[in-house]
Parts: sequence; structure tokens; C-alpha cells
Amino acid sequence: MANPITSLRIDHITKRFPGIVACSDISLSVGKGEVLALVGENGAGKTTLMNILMGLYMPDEGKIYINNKEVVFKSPSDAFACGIGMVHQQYMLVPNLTVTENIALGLSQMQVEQAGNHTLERMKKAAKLDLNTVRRHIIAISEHYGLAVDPDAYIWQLSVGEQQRVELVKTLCFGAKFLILDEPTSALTPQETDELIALLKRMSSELSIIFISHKLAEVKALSNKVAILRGGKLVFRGNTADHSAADIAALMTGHQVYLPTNQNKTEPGRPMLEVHNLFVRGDRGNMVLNKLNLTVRAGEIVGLAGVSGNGQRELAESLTGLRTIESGEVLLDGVSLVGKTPKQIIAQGMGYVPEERNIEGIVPSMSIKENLVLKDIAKAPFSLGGMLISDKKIEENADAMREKFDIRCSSVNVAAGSLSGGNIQKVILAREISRGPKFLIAVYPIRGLDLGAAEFIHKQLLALRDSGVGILLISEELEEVINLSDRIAVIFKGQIQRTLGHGEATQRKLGMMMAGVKEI
Amino acid sequence: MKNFKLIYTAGVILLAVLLSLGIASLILAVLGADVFKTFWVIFCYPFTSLKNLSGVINIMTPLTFVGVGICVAYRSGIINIGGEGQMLFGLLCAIVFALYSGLEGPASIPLIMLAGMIGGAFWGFFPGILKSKFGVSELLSTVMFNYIATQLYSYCLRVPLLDPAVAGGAGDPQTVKLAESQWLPRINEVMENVPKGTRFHTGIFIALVLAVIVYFFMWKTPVGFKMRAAGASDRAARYGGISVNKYLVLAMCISGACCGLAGTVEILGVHHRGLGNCTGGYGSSGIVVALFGGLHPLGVIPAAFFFALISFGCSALQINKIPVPSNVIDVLMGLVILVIVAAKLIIANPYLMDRAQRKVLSLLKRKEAA
Repeated sequence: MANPITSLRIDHITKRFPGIVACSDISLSVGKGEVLALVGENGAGKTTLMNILMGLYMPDEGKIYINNKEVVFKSPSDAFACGIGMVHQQYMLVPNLTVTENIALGLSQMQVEQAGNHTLERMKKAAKLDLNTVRRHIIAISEHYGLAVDPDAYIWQLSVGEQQRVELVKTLCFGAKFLILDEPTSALTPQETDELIALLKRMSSELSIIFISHKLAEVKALSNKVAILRGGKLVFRGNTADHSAADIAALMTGHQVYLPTNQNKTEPGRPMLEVHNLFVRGDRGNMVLNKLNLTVRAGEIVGLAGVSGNGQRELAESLTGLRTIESGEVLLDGVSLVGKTPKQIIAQGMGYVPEERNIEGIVPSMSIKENLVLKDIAKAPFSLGGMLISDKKIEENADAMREKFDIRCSSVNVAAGSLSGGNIQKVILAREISRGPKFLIAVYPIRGLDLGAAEFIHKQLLALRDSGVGILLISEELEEVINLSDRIAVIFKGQIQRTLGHGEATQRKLGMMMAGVKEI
Repeated sequence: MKNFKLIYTAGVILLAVLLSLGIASLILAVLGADVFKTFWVIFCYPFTSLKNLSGVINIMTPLTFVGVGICVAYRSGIINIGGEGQMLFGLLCAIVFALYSGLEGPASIPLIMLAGMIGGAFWGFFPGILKSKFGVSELLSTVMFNYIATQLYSYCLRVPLLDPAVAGGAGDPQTVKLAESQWLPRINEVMENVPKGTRFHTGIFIALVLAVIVYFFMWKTPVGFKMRAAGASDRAARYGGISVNKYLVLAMCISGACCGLAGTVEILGVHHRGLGNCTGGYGSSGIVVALFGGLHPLGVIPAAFFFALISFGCSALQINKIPVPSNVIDVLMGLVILVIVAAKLIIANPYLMDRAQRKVLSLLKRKEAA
């Protein structure tokens, strides 16, 4: 097992990729028991830096020191051997194995590596899979750190938060003395986030932690040091306690950030979307929406708050014709949508910003300009008489959109999938808004986006509201829901738990209602 | 250093060529063949006479048809490896139409081709509908449909369409010859001023026109756009209001029609009757041509030419009395293709290029310093 890590220092690290410098001359240090928050917008170089620390990339220049001794990581196993462990954004667990089996998978490999070059020893270690020892080890670790994990549960049975705990236990079982967490809260519910932060705080008395985050509230709550990256450069290093969240946000984006809020300037109009007694089945055949009722008026944003998995996805899909409606009625501006195809519903004036922007919102391998006309390619002016595509008009449209929606790209001819998450979301919004929709469904519109992009997207949604479009905003981010919505509906187990007015909702109240408490 | 990309690309290609020639030479030397002469026959002999070049073009024709068809399917998100079956069923329909419709003369040729296209489209329709309705893997269904087509064709050749001249067991089974007026004319029959020995059939022009039409269809019409979107990301296409399943079936029909046309043109231009092995394996090698041509209808044209060149050259080894077993010819062809595909991947990888560029730059700097 590795020695304890009392200090970790990265010294003038530079890493280049074709066309860009991902990390430019970055120096950082983390001492024993410290928590360093690494913040920055998408593409600022945070993940690249951590991948260097994990041995996934070799730096072009610069050195890494552990306990004041230089180390060179040629592969992740070198980094493991020094006691550095990383929990990635995407969990790397096999769903149909148990927790113990998942951890044993990596562990046995580590033991084989530790056996060195002795072939017979390696084979012996590889052949022996001692699940009981691993199980005891897991229980010991989870008790020591207060990480509640059932070693015999199958991964597919666990919630996202529980899976993350399994990843943490896995990393600790491998002997990590230094944790790197890449956006650990991005998939968690608010409650799970709070639990995780409390947990990490406890753990930080024994371990050093670097965590990557966009969310400044977490940075403030958890870290004692903060480092800000912008465009591959380290722009700020300091103690978290000395700086306000607004200061950090400004340093991160390079300008002052004001997340816009709904001023309720205009009065909502006629009912635009009416959902009556909606029943819809989920992928496993069980009823996921149970008699759901909801009304959204023109010029109104209704926030749908809820822990993910309570029917949000199925609701959005059934409203856009992608999922069969079992029974009930859905009216868009008085016209029934039941039994209509997605094409017909789009023609009725439905706009949709889907949950998984990379695979549902855009065709990644097609160019930006083509993605911008994905829904209207057969219409004038983009094709003449529905027969012949006009490249010129498509290009003109793309240039106009690029200007208006601040889509940052080298050219509108590059593949949309090569853009950052924020710019992909801008492409999708540009397409949906420019079509002049009557109604827009936006699902987790700023999930994983940095502050600058989030600010822009929120402004666009509010402007769309003021122009008289009805918007259903599906989100887990309570702050987002409270800031933007005229009314907030809380969804729980496929039903609307309660609908709150603009002034009524507080984070605490919503959090409890999302957990199923009806009356507060 | 602006030209670095050009230099890099040229360098990789040169290296790839040298590498493939090196390995091939080694194999040939071990077999005891004259290395230089073998290469000369494969790459230069086809250019030595117009007759040989015509032979290359005759091989290129069906490869272009099939390659273009595979592109349409692939771009629409379905991998059609049923080219053989679609060729066979298409040419079977064409032969039946040619023999029994009672139509003759040059005017019947487009109709016979249409029959072949419909046959091929019909054979492509089933794997398409099976995938869109029931999610049956096209890899499975197209191969099974190849088997069915092969046996069906074999039966027709031996029983209902059997040429009375070979009935009774003498000779290989074949159909009767089509009327001469139904044949696709050779180039020297329709143009007077071509140099002597130019004798490829006019199917190549149809193939080239088809490649251009398909390119136009896939890239310049809304239907083609939707098919490409559905192929590139079926979920995003569905969310965008495109009925992916409909376009999947359409793509398989178009793809099948191209393959059916390949078979028909092969009959009308080369064999003039149904024979035991008249697809020549083009239904399968057309897949390689399509991938080789970057899955682009216009890219298929040079790819098909190159493929035809090697395959003509290799088959000419026997005529030129080079003692290389015919199986080794396949090995050589496979080798050349592998190396070219690898070179394409290396060229397309920006990381490798960036690394090479920085290495070269630092070398240059060191030299300057010294």
C-alpha cells in the first residue's frame, strides 16, 4: 500500500492538443487534509489537468511531485500505486454485478499488478477471486468513513447517489489517499448533494481532495482552497473563505454574472398546454404517469420540479409524440395531440429542448448549419418546392443564428458534436426558438453547463416567455426553477404533488415536496 | 509549416505504399516468383492495351453500382451486406422479363433494367421492414436473404429457365441467350471514332450517371437529408420529427435497386444469359469498395476503378505465366487494402499529425542551433 500523501504539487504543467493549448503552465499544490476546488467554465482545462494527474495523459511540459518527490505517471495504474484515486463523472460500474463483484473486479487486477513480474505469482493471484475478503474490506471501509453501502446489492438496483458511494468505496478500497472527484454532484438530487458534501467534509480530515465543480454553492460549502482555470490558464488561487461566490463567478467567466430572474412583467394569457388525466407507461411496461394534470398558459413558465425518475422524461416524450399515450387528453392551443406523430406535433408549434442534448437534440456528425434546419429542411426557404436543398439559404440562416445566439464555433460547417455542451445547447435553442413555437418544453436546459452559458440560456427562455410562448421547464435545480418560473409544479411518482405560485416556493419547501411530503 | 499537412499526408501514403510493397515482395520472394514482374503485371499490365483497360472498366461497372448502393444504406444507418442476394434476385427478374415479355429492340433495355431494379429493391425491402418493424438485425437478415436468393437462382437456372441445349446433364446449367437487340452495346458499336480495341460495354456510363444522381439525391434533396440524419443519429432524427423507420425501408429499397441494376447490367453487358456464377462476387466486394470510397457515391468511382485494376491485374498473372497460386493473389489484394485503410486512418487522426509536426519542428530547431 502507498504511503500517506502529505503534499501534492503540480509544477508548470502544459498540455497541448491539436489547435489548442488545454493546460498552459499550471502550478498547484494541495496539502494534507486540504480540499481544493477546481472551478472553471467548460473547456477551461480542468478535466485535462486531472487526467494528467491520473496518468491518462502525459504532460508536454512540467512535473508532478508527491511528498516533494518527483513522480512520472505513465498509466493510471502508476497513479493508483501512488495512492491517487479518481471518481469520474460517468460511473464505471457493471450493472448486472453486485457491489462486491464490481469492486473485486478492479481489486484483483490491482493485486495481479502488485505481484510484479513473477509469472507464477501473477497467475495465482489472477486465479483466486476471494469475494469474502473483498466483502469484509468493503464493510470495514464503509463503516470507517460512514459510507452506507450494501455490498450484496446489484448495481442496477441502486440510485445514482448510491452508485456514486460505490465508486467512492471502490476508490478507497484500491488504497486511495488522495481523491479526485470530477463534478461529483452533477447527477445527484439536492438531498443527495447535501449528504455527499457532509460526507466529503468528514473524509477530508483523513484525505486530501480535489474536486471539480461548476456549482459555487458547493465550492463554498466544501473547499478550503480554490483554483480557477480559464482558457487553459490558472487565473486565480486563494482561500475559499476570503472570497464571495460572486467574486469566484466573475473570475471564472471573466465578467460579472447576474443569473436572470423572472420579473413577472407580463400577465399570462390563454391556456396553451392542457394535460388531463394522463396515463403513460415507462420502458419497463409499468405505469409511470398516473393521472397527471397540468396547465401551462401562454406567456408563462411553469417549472416542473422533481427528483429525476418520477416521470419527467416520460411526460416530455408523451407530449412530443415520442411515447404512446395510454389514456388521457393533451391539448396544445386547443388541438388534441393524442395519437399524433412527432412530425405532426412539431407542425402544431411544439418546441423541444430534450434531456440528452448530444444524442437527442443534435445529430453530432452533421454540421451546425444542417442541425439548425433539422426540423425544417423540407420547407421553404431551405428547399425549393420541397425538392431541392438551397445550401445558400441554409448557410445564411446559420450565420444569422450564430450571430444572434452567440454560438462560438470556427465555422458553421463543423460537426455539431465537436462543440462544447453550452454551444450545443445554443444550437438547439436557436433552432427551436427561430421556428416560432407556441410552446416549448425544456428538459434540464442548463445541466452540466457553465455559468456563462447558463446565464445566456436563461435570458433566452425569459425573453421567449415575454413574447407570449408557454414554457414547461423540467429541472432538478431548485434555484433554476425558482428563478425562472411563474408557477412551480412538483412531480412525484407520476403525479403533480402540488402547484405553488411564484412567491410561495422556497428551496426547503420544494425539496420536501419532491421527496413526497404533501402538506407543509 | 503551412504545407505540413500536405507533406505529412504524402509521407504517410508513400510509407504505406512502400510497406505494402515490401511485405508483398517478401511473400512473393518466398514463393520463388519474380517480384518485379509480378508487380508490373498487377499495376502496369492493365494499362498496356486498350483491350486490357476495357477489361478493367468492365469490372469497375458492377463494383460502382454495388458500391453506390451500399453507401445509401450505410449513410441511412443500415449495413447492407445482402448485395449478392439483391444482385441475383434483380438479374433473375431481368432475365425473366427479357425472355418472356416478348419485347425486343433497344427500347426494351431500359425496361429490363427497371425490372432488375424492382427485383433488387424487392429483395432489399424485406430486411428493411424486418429491422424497422421487429428490430431484426440486418446483418442476420441480409445474409439469410443471400442464401435464399442463391438457392432460388440455382433452382431457376436448373429447372424452369434451363437452356434446352444443355439439358440432359452436359455442360453447366445456363439460360438461353437473350436476343442480341437486348444486349448493352459495346462502346465500339455505338461510337465510330474510338481507337481499335476499346470494347468495354456502355454500362459504365449508366453507373457513373447513377453515382452522380445518388450523390445529388442524398446531399441535395430533403429526403436524402432526412435519410442521412436518420443514419447518423436515429434518436436525434426521431426527436426532430423524422420517421426513421420509413426512411430505413426506403434506404434498403434504393440500395437493393442499385445492386439489382448491377446484376442486370452484368447480364446485359457481359454474359448475355444467366450463368452459374454471374455475380462475380461483386455484391460482397462492392462493400469494400464503398468503405474504400469513404461511403460517398462519388468517392466510390475512383475506389471501384482501383479495385478493378488490382483484380484485373491479379487475374492476368496466370495469362502472363507467373507461377503464383491464385489464393496468394487474394492475399496480396487483402494486404494492399489493409495498408491503404490503415494509412487513411493515420492521415485522418489529428493527434498523430500534431505529434509528428512538433517532433519535426523540434528537430529543425536543434539543427539550427547546431
